Amino acid sequence: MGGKTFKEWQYFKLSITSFDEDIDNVHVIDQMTWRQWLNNALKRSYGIFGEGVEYSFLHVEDKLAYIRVNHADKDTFSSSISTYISTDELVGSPLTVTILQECSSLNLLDITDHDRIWLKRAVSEEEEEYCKCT
Amino acid sequence: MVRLKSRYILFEILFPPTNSNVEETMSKVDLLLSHHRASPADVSIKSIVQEIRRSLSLNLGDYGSAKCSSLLQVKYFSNRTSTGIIRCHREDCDLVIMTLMLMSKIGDVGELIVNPVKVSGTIKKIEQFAMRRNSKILNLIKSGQSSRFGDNDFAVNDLRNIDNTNENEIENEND
Repeated sequence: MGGKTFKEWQYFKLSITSFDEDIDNVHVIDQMTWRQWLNNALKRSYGIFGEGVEYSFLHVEDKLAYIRVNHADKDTFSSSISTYISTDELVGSPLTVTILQECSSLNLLDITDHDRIWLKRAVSEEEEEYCKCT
Repeated sequence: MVRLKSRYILFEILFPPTNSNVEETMSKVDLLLSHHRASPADVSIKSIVQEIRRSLSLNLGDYGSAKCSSLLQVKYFSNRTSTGIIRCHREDCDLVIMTLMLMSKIGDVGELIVNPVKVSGTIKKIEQFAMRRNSKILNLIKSGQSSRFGDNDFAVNDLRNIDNTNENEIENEND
């Protein structure tokens, strides 16, 4: 019998934009803004159940964010963020998020050389967690 | 051809006394009577539907709200007895019940509890159940009042018994 590997996390590479270069250049999107945007999106689409979706930031770099979501909630997460446009309250202009990549392993994430440090740390943390569980 | 399966939810609107001290000093009959009041005119089928939709949207988001709203109807509501019947899709029945329980106001009328009493597959059965339940509650109140606003152990346990006996009387009505 072929053993099926258990997938706990799904990884997303996201980009946020207002589709206006001037506004994008002026604002730096920090982790709090990202979190607020994602929470609003989840709340809008799935209400209190959406707000309960577990996700964490692996890395945030202005308009790019790498996010880890529980595998069971990946469809909820992706559908809510791809159907949501925020109001003006965050940066004074509506923002949308695009899913650049979605994968089930950290090693499959598209990263640049600058991202190697946090990725290495994330991989080692995940391995540590896996060792603790087994 | 595939039939559209629906469920009917019997609910009642309760008006708990706002002052908790009053609640402690009240007899059980008075407590029951104070909860089962006639609803104000502001509470109508239209306002109930609006509030359910608002609650659905708040608690379940756009997706849940759209899913549940497909067949959502208030078939009956009586201000005099504060009792109503909601029709919903069979698959979304649990979500609608949850939404009803999370409601705390209807229109401008606040501090109320929406109590989903029973779910059934046919409106006829739910009507029969509501009538039996109401007449039994009425008898209980009458007997409670005649025994000097009874310290007898009535309200909660007896209400539970009413529901249980009614459950036993009703055969399975699943479609």
